[in-house]
Amino acid sequence: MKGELLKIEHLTASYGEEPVLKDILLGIGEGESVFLVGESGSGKSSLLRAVLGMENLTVVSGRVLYDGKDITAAGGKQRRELLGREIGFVPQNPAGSFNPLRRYEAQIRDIMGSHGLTWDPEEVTEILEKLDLKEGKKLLRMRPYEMSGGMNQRMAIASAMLLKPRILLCDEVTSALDTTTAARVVKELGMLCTQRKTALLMATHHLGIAARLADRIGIIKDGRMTELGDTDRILTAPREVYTKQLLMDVPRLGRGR
Amino acid sequence: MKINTPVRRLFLRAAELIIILLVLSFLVFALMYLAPGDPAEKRLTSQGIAVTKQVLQAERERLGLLRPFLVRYAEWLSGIVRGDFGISFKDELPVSGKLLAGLKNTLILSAGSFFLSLAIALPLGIAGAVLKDRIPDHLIRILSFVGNSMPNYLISVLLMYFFCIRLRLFPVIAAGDLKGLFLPALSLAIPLSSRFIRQIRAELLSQLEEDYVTGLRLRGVKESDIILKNVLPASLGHVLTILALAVGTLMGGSVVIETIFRWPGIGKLVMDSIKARDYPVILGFVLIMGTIYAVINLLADIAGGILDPRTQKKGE
Repeated sequence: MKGELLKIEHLTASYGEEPVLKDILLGIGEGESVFLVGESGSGKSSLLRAVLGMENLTVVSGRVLYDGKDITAAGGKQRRELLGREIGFVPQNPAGSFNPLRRYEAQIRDIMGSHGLTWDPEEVTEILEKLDLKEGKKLLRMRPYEMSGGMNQRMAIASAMLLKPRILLCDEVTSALDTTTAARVVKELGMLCTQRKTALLMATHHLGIAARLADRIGIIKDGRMTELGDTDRILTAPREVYTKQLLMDVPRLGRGR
Repeated sequence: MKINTPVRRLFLRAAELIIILLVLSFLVFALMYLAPGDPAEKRLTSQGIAVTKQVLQAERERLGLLRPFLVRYAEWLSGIVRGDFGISFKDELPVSGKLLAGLKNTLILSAGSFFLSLAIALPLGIAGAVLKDRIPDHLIRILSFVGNSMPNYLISVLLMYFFCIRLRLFPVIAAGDLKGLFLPALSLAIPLSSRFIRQIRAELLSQLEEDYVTGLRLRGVKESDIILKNVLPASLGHVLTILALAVGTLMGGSVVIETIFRWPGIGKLVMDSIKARDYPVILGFVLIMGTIYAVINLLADIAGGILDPRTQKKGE
């Protein structure tokens, strides 16, 4: 039986009055990849925020369990040790999530140092190479504002994976990228997670991207998980009308029948 | 012709500086011209000479006060360019020598109070931002509010009362040494550091709101790393500007404080010169102070550009 690494139990959460997450139920096993699919504003990003324990989101009821421990209200040192090292995160706007004026090397050193890991340039360039970024040494000397969105995105992924988290949360990794780059980045990310047996929880509005990489897909609409199931099942035998609609919207390439 | 941006910026700012100083010199010269009080009369009475109409007219003639305004201004300006600030009306000694003698002491006092202010304001400003809305933050805010509201001459008198008269730790009249420096420097540093504390705190708080701070926290970066290696250096550019702008306050304040503590600086010289309507000395003082102020702000601007390369990109 697959151990449940992250478990979200009947989670209801809100910004202020209006709940943005309603009774969410989700478990993710060790090394499993789950994609949350929904339109913008559906609550998929909020679900990631709830797991990360971001301050502006209030949990009304329910719990978030990590490795069997309740982390819903974890704060301070406990939260800090969890973030990055256990639960990795690739934000929607990667360039803005780094100090724009500091070189990547300095920032990644700090991130690793904060978790008691030692900086190894070989390891970093190797991971960057896997993400199709050559000349890693040169890139590490650059600052976020000097790089393109796609490069920053991959730097964010690399810096998250260097900490060898057990689960990686990704928020709309593709929104800042053009379709071709997006597909490639997600593929590389998926391969990296498979190699390292890192569980993946990714929020996206692209059912097409989810179809290629997810073990399971959860459909989110208006803060509710309307459907959750194995990728094959969701794609071939969707139960909900909304899921069927989403499937129809996926653009098909080549010989569409 | 292609000149790289930092150098071009420097030239542009230097040209700006010269124009500012020209305008400043003209304004001050005009103000002196329009100000009531007759330097010839002041000089004669201070020498105990009976002032008759004839004697006064002769004295005005001798000091060159009767020639047209613009001629006097042009003459004065051409002297300045050659490093000649003219002759004091009071004792007919060269103005440049008088100013230089006091300038050193004033710079010592200004620098001393400046670094004292920083030593007080940096840790308290950072503490206020990090511990926002907690008890230490409230205490620091009350303290800085009080310090900011009190004029420096009042502070200096209070300090003098406690340290010199009650505790007898310091001499009332500041000899030009380190022990004598402390109280005048502190009198200037208390209001200044109170202002710095608020500005540094506000600047850090606005930096802490930046997205990247959340980004680093979500990666589990230590809070001390976030403050010391990211937020603090990022606010340095703004803080430098704040500090540079304070140099004016500092130099203005030192005039008053030097008089109270009898610190042998340029401020005391200027106070005496104002009383005696010794225009050449006053003009020289304003010009030197204006130059120092403008040059420091120019340097802060350049440093800010180096600290945040993005501002240069925008200027291109």
